Amino acid sequence: MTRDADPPLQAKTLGELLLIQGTVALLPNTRSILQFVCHGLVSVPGVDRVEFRIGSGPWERDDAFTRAFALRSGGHDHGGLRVHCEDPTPFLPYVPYIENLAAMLGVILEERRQRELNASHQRELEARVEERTRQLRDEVRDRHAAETQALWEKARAERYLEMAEAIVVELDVQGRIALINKQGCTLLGRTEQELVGADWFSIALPPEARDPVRQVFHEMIAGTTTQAEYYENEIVNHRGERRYVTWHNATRHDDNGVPIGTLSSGRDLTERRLFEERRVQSQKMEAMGTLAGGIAHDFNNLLSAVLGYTELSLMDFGQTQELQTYLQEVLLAANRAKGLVKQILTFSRRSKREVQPVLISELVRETLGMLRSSLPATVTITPTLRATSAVLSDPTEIHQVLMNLCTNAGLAMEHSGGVLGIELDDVDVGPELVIEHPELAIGPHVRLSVSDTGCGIPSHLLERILEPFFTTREGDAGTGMGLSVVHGIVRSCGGALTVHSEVGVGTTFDVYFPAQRQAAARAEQIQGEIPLGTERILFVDDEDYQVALAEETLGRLGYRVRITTSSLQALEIFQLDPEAFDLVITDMTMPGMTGDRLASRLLEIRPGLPIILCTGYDGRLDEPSALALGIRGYALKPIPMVRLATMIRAVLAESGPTRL
Amino acid sequence: MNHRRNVSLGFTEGTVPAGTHICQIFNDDDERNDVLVRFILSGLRASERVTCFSERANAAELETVFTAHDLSYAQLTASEAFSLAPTSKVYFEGGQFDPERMLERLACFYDEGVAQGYVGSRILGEMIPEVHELPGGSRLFEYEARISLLLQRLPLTAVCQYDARSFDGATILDVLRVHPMMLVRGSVVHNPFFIPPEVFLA
Repeated sequence: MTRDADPPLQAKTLGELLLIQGTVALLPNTRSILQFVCHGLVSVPGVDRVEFRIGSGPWERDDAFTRAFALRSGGHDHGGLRVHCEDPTPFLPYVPYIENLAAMLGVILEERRQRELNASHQRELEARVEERTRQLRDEVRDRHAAETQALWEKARAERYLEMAEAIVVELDVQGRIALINKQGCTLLGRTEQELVGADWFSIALPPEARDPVRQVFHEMIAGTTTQAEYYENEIVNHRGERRYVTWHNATRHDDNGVPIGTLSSGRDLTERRLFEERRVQSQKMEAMGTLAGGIAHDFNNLLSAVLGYTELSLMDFGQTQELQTYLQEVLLAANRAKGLVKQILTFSRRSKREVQPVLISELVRETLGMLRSSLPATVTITPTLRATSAVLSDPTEIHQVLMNLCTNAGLAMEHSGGVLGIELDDVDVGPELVIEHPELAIGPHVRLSVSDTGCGIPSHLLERILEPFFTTREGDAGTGMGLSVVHGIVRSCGGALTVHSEVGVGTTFDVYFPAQRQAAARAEQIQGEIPLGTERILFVDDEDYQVALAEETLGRLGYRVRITTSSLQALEIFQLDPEAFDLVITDMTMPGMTGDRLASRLLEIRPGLPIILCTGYDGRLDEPSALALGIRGYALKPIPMVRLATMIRAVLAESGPTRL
Repeated sequence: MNHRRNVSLGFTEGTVPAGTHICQIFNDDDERNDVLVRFILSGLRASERVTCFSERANAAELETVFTAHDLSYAQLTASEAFSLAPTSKVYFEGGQFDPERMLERLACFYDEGVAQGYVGSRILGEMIPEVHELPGGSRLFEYEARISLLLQRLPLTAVCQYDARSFDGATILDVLRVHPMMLVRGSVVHNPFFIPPEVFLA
């Protein structure tokens, strides 16, 4: 492109160039700007067309009709404009203006590039900030969720710990309690505040267990024993009561495997052990009952002979005062022996209650001699027996109540001595006492009071003294059954037992029995009269001395007696002449044919035949079963003469007129 | 051209003769809105009849502005002293761009204003790029040139708004060629690129 002479500049074109410069900044991007500029430059004189290039790149060299304008700024090539002229001459004067425009465009484009770069950086930064913010927010949310989860898990674990039936204890390496659950606190009778931080061995173990258990603990921490995973020992609560606990132990380690303590879960086996002990005791009692039952029959038969012949001796030699006294003592002792057998059977739950009107004062008098010999000489017995009413009970049971209460009282004064008071009064139970003891009824009662001046019973033990197997005596000194048996007997009579005790002063047990005032006379009668008769009796017992005694006794009572020691022979005798007897008295346990079977056969032969069944002890047939067979009387050996005579009369009277 | 009264545009100092055809190239919504509001308010204050074709203008916003300037939007629209309509509804009625119809509409708008006693009339219209996609859209610059011819006859002051972000650079320069005056940095200047309509349409 050459220039011969400067053509004149047109104001319009210069204005257009200025307007382009003033307007390009409004356009949004490089392409739009360059389109705008190229379109505007076409108006410049001599210009045919204008093209543009964005960015750096090859560009043909200028020639006479072509002129290129680079768009550079800040060392950056943003592109270029290339003007194609149809006539370069009028164009040339504008070249400096276009160069100026191109330079300005370069600045604008560079500025935009920088701005876009900044904006891009800003966007990137903002994006990164936003991303990081999002990450942080997520992290915070996740952490919060994790913390919430952890708190929830912790709360749940604590709930489980609290609800656990097992005792859970965590110890540090010094053996201090780091954690203990509710069950553990309850068992030890202490609060968590008292326990956490305390030395486990000192606060929870009985003295003799501390050193051995501590030794095992240290071996666990040292890792020198694997024998302590399961361990059993006693623990002791705040009152000094012991509980037997079986433990499952584990050593706790930190992340580096260093021991930091132990975690133990324990189960209180005290009740189970007690139950086991009771079961063993129960089995012993069962065995004792079996043994007692086995010997009772023979023993009672022996006593029958002692009692029977003593009674006959009294009848024959009772005129001699001295001999009568001796025989009365023999009779009394034999009756006591009979009572003892019955106590054994009662204790082993093998005996039958023989409920009848009982004058307790008589029983007390009988028992006093026995009591005197069994109590220390330092104990003085002061009986005050004012009651005249009878109670409806089994005399043996009343005797047992009396013996048990007096024995306990004696033991309470064993070392110090003192006064054993036995009082018997007729009392009227009022509403106040009934409210306190609902098992009582308002009305007349006989109150038996047994008091001592011994050591007394601490108040916290009072509520437990009636529990079976509860005893304050150590070792084998007590079974813990005495007061429990008393309580059971009293309740079965419809009575109640109260206790008042003061440590260092003494204890009083009051036993209330419902009074049977009308029965008192009958009780006295039973003990005083011996009814007689003349009927024909067939007496069957496999023991010779029993049949001999019966022949003698029943004969003395006026009866005509046929005896036999064989149940089979008895059946034959009866079959020969069923009408020859008004009454049959038979033993239960006999070889060949038992008493119940004999009775059945006899009743087949002669329905309605009066039969009395006597038994020393036989668990196979009780009174209701015997009566159901048609047997009219049921008597436990040994049978006092009075009772036998009374029963014979009652059975015969029930059967109607007898044939003499 | 007869002697025409000078009118204030509102968005620039000084006055221009009524019937001036001005274009505004903008790339900022505030810039566009500022010109729109000032031009309308200026016309209403001068008791001219004003109409606005804009896709962006919002009646509620304008009502707020009017109220701030003690003008009742309801009264002004009820009396047809002011009217507002979207560009697409007015320019693209029937789904096409019809320059003749638009020119007729503008002429009617002016004549009605005269008949109703307005001292003058003004129009603001914002073109939108969709025009290129419609039948008749290629006649956009012809239309603008014919407006210049129309305004030589009628003293209807017109401002045409073009968004530089929506049209390419070549189109923007073509827009300049058909508007005798243009708004540059707040000043209305003669447009050196303007091609007289007689030449442009020839």
